[in-house]
Amino acid sequence: MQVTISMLQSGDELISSQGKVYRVIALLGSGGQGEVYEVESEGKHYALKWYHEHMATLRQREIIEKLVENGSPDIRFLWPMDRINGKRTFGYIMALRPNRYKSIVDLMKRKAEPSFWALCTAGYELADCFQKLHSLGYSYCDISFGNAFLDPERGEVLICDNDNVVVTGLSKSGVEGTLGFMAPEIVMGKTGPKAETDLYSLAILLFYMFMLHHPLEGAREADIKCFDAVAKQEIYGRTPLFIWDPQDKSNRPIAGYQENAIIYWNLYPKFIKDLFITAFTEGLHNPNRRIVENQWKRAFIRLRNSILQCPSCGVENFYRESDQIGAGNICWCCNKNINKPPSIQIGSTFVVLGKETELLAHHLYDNFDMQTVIAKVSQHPKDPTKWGLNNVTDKEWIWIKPDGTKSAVLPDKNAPLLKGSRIDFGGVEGQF
Amino acid sequence: MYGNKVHIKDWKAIGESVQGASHLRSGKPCQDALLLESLEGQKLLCALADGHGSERCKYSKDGAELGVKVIHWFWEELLKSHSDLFLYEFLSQTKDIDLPKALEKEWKQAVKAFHQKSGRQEAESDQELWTWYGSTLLFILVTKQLVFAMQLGDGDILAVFEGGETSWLLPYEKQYGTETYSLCQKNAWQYFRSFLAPLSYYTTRPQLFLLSTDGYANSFISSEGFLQIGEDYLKLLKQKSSLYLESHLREWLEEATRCGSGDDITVAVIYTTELEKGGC
Repeated sequence: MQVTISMLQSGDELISSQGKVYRVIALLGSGGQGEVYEVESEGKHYALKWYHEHMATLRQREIIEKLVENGSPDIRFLWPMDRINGKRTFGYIMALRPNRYKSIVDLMKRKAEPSFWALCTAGYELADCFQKLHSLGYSYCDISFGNAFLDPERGEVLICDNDNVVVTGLSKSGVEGTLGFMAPEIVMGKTGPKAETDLYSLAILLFYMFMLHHPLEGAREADIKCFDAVAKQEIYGRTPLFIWDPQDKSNRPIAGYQENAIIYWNLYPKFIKDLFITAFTEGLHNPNRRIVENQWKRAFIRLRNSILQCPSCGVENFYRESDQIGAGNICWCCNKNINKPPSIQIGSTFVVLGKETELLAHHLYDNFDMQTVIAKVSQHPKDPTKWGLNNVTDKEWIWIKPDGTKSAVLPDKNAPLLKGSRIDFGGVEGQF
Repeated sequence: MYGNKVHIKDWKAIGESVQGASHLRSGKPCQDALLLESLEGQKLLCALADGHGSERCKYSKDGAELGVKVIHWFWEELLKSHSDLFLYEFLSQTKDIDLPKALEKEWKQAVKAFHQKSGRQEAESDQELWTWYGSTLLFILVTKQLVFAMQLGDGDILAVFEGGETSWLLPYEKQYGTETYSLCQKNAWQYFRSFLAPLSYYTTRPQLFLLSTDGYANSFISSEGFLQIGEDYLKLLKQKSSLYLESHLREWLEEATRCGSGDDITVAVIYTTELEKGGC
């Protein structure tokens, strides 16, 4: 049995407010507020967050009670589900985070290397999670890289440490947030965390995920020491300045020291950069100009729609359907030209059709239904140079050739990817 | 306080550094560095660095010295602006990214400044310069309220509990051959590992921490054999005395390098003063 520097040890037993007995298996980690253990009860394994004594406040206990009572908004939240009271502290039970989920710190340290497809999915999912939370009247209050996890293969996300979530405007959270993620108005002590400040923290988290760098850490940060609290307050609170501010270039990232910020910024299409520019220029000081979840969701779907593999070297690129002027797209890795890929235009939605592309209900109906698959790209079984779109719905489509002739595409049948042809999906039309 | 022996209210530490037996034969100096320090009389800081010693790393002895000096400067500065009350929160927020980035930056700047002053031959690139000074680094800070440790590259930090149970404070990282993470590499911050735990009345605390450069662990046949030293040192402190440990540590380490790895060995033993009272 391994002994650990912790409040509980393996084998300790605790009884919850629901009368269940939980046995401590192992310490999983220690954070600012408490320790997290793997525990077992009736053959099932859970996680237990056990507060440091000085963090076990009455207010925190009330928040937990309320969260357990209200229940989880969504399975993506590792929500408090049972409470345990100790002599001088307390804790709560939540689901265990499966090992396939990695932290944003793992991403930063390159211990997890998601594809751009998975990253776009994770960006969408994160925005969707916080939209759900906010729509229920909650504020998360401490969005930071310790609290969001993603599956680098599929882009699925989990939100941990939900014990600071409070009903917006009705109660005060036990935390102010994490420096670097806190909105400037919180850093300056003008307000506490709320939904508007969550939006700021979400933008920081997304920037970190996509650029592997902090949006305010440029030349100014390079000059300070990490423990200089006054200088940090300047950067994050008093005079924050986006590293890619189009008007003020004085905080640009330093080559050789802040490489990621430069490399990744140049990889993304203009529409994504524009959103980050708004988030970290107007949105720095005006909470009403912060990017809301739907904007992020649309942007990450659009970004994911544009992913293609470079025909020369095979790495993922973002096809810039509107940025291109003359020369077209150049692969960021091998610098070779990328010709316009097979694609479908459905209203204003442009989707690159790669060999594993799926068209989802959202692509047709703009309804954020990312689960219902409508069509899959398919390869002709006898002639691999021919590609089609497989109808995976139970409804008939109509395929309209460039000359106007029509033919039916029955369920499980394929419409050839013929340039200039169209598909009537049933009220919605797409053109190859 | 600064030296091979320090103490604060509840903890004491003894450290020793010996030249590797093979280094002695080939006339190479000891390339390990050791820092033992009491900060504000209430915090015990211990840092070890192991210069790589290869031909490519020709100034790694200085690199190791600069490694432990950076730790000294770093904590001195940090404690000026962060009270005990906020230290834990600060460390928990910065230990994964900001702090290791700062340590990498400080060491590389220190190396540049030291090299310029030394009048040594100029390197063709920054990377070449840092490689000349390549070193590992590990440290622990023990206070009344918390234990904090960080490590880059090989070496060991062990926690030894009341019953002699011994484990690595930071997850054991298997590396192959003689390769190790180093302060000199690009993005070195990504390879730092850290441990942070608050200490409250209810926390199970170790009786002893043992820090060593890899020359010590490599002197043992197996990792199990190496872990056994935790219980051995604990028994020794309980049954004999810290004076006994102090007077014999050097000869034990010399024997270890002679009969074992042949490498330089640096060890720091940090123990609770309860042990001196014959307690536990």
